[in-house]
Amino acid sequence: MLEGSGIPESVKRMFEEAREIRRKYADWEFINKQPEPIKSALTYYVETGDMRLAAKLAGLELDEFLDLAFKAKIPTVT
Amino acid sequence: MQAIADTCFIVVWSKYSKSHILEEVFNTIYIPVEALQEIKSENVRSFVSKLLTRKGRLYVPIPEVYREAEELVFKVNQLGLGVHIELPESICLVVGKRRGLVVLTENLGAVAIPHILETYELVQVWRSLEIIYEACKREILKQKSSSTFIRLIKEFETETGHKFRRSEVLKYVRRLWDT
Repeated sequence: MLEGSGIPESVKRMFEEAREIRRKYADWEFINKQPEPIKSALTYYVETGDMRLAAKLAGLELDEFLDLAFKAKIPTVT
Repeated sequence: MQAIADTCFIVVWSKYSKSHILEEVFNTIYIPVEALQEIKSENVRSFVSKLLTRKGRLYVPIPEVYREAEELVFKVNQLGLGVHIELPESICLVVGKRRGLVVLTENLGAVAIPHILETYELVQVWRSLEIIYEACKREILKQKSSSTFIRLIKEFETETGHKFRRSEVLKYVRRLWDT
């Protein structure tokens, strides 16, 4: 691990596994019923895991967005 | 043992019925003022109030910490990780490095930093899984077998909406019972 040497494969795997888990558990019916921009922000969160940018896209504070993600059954994953 | 918690960690633990173990595992839990400022939900604010009344402490960074944290935010955004971090997590990582505090986070971007940046490789970043493991190891939570440990993890996942990767859960099952 050296600075500037890129992202290690183990970290890439960690992000990919987390994405698969979010996709698996997400309640797509709930997500698809949401108005814009909430629907797109939740979908963005499922695909990237970037909770901070997703909250901004939804126009919500981070904790409010995570509560909404909880209702949409999108887990935080580590 | 002292720790510093970021916003997403606090949100997750505010939903957990056994959140008292946090205060048994750690002597002090610092909450950066930046994390506090972005908490708006009533239930999360209530959780933080209770924590601050007991073992929680507000952490107000010194200017040098702000500068280093801003540099870290910039550096992480340049990595192309796909997940960015902001000041609350960044301050936690910087303070973790400077003062040896355990960083508590459930933001995968922050979890990844010690694996990516050499200057942060010694920072201890703990997720909820490490706290539950530590509580079991110290018998704060008494678990008789791997199956009760897995039940405990599932209970956490159901209550908080958080998921652990199975490989990570199995790693800690082995640590607790294969020695």
